Amino acid sequence: MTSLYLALAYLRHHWIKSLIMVLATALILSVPLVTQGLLDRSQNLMTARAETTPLLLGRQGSALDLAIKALYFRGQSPQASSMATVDEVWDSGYADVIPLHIRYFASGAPVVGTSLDYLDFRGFAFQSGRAFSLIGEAVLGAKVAERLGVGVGQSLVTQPENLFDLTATYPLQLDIVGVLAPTGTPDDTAIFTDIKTSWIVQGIGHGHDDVIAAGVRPDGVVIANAAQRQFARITDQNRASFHFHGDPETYPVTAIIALPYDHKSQTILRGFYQNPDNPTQIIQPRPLIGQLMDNLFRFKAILDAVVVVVAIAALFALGLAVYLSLQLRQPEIRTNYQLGAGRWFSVKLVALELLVLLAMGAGLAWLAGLASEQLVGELVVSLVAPSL
Amino acid sequence: MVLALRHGFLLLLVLAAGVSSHAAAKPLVVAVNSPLAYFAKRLGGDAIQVTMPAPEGEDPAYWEPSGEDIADIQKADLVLLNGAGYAKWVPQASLRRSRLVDTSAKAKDRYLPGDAEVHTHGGNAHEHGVFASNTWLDFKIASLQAEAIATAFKRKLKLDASQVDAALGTLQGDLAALNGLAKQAGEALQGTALVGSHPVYHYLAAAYGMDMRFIHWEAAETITEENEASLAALQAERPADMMLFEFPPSASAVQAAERAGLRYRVLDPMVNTDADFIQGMRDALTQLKP
Repeated sequence: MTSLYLALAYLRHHWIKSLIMVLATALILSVPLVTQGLLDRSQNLMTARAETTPLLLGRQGSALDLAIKALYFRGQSPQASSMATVDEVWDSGYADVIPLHIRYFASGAPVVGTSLDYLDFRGFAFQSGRAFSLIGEAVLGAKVAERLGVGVGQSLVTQPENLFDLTATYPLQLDIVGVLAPTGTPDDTAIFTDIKTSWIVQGIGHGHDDVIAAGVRPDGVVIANAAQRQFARITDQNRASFHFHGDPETYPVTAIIALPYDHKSQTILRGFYQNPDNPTQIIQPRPLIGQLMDNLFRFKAILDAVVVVVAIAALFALGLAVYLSLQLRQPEIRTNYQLGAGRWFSVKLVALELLVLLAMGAGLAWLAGLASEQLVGELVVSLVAPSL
Repeated sequence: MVLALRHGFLLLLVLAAGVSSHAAAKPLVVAVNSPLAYFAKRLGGDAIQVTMPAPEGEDPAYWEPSGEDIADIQKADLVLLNGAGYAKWVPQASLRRSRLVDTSAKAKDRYLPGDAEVHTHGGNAHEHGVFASNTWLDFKIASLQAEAIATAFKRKLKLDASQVDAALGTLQGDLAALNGLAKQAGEALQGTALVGSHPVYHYLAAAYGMDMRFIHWEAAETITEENEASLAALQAERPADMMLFEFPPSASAVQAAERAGLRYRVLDPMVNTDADFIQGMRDALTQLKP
């Protein structure tokens, strides 16, 4: 007990030296800890969504673009598929189907047009409000609401795809009816609406005043006056005027989540879309994202080797510092001996000092590891996904 | 004695809890109009709760629910749609596809055109076209709709298949009887030109060979000069003999019809009523004679 008291008194008295030793130890230990934590967390984060999403369908093209867009709402937009495919999978009777339309943004957050089934599928809970129930209504991810400082009863406006495109569709005002509880996933950073609302943003559907006829074509089609007012916000008064054009089977979807009823259904569905001549591709996100993560984190082995070399060098430096410190403390050790302290007393004292320093350094490294895990979530997705 | 009473009371509480939890567990079925709600009640019996959300006096086809109304409908285990574009709110609402039943999907090839408006702006022509949507007035289609509901009850709500099938058999029998009555009415009305006070009888007219044209009158309201002019134009084109109203007409409507030389009958499509659909239709069809 006396040894510990004296060791702590020594460390306290030489607090600058102690602090430097603690920080040096913490740095040496935290590099591998933080790196490992970061990599594990990011790998888990990226693969967790892929694991819970059994099948994705989309237009033939890059499977990776499709998966990244559908799972993380980021990266390149794959070529759009259509509602005909959604109906086809639905009518097959092998799976429940969730369409996703991810093309537009509002206040920097992706607007994900989907069905209520997506909210059920991801098991969302609401911080406030309710799910979207009518066109023009939106539900915000927790981080979007926090970042923008908006909530239920307020609204957001969609951004035009291209500022200089004069023929682009009008921005649509989205009424916020709910805010989701945090999930720690990319859903926190998105805005969810009914897919019909996304089609309205795209210009496939719209609402306008009663048609003011500018003329009638020979085939009987009424030509509306160009000055006719289109609505940029869907209200109770004008909602009924909103309508869609064209064949509903041609309406675009970015990706389709298929939830097969059982393993057999999954196999049959995959078999059906394996044909490369089929304009629709089907992918299993889990192996695809797993492979991607393996490739991305292949540098981890190199990083591990670097960490080991640096750690050995740092330990040598630390050892040297301890050795030099002991040399400087020779008179103190001799005095202890002359005062009657045993031979091992000084050894015990120095060992205890080192132990306390190492423990404090390790504790600090552990805290750094924890902090990095807390901060890494969305940061990793935002760093990794756009580079794909 | 006291102990026995206490035990008896506890038993009652347990039974009551059992009964209430059973009631709470009943699947909720929302139907977009009263005929579908009636079919659902007949087929599901006490095993389900059935509601038709449009308020009393509203036409369910043109009802405009609020977001909160839709949020309530979203809680339903099954939403029975009529199909053919019936209930204008459906395309504007967010509903779980897995819980929707398009009851007339098997009769799509029998849909009849309704009022259509084609216009163009931005160079793209498009049609705000609609089908006539009171499909159940063709009782063969109504029978298919009942069948679709029965299938959904068995597959999605996992109701007892034998009970649902038995109820379906009885209901389809009743609908077949209505079909017979409607055929008789159609035959009896051969040579009688009809005017529908509202375009709601397309399926009745087409299925049972009735010669019927339509105007847009609100039967229960006072008839305007414009209303009368539209009837006069129709009569000038080809005289009709009889007018069909959805509801008992106002005195003003009766007088206007009589001035145009028309007798009238009432045939309520029963879109928003708690009345017995089969009985209501039977009564209406029986009096549908020249």
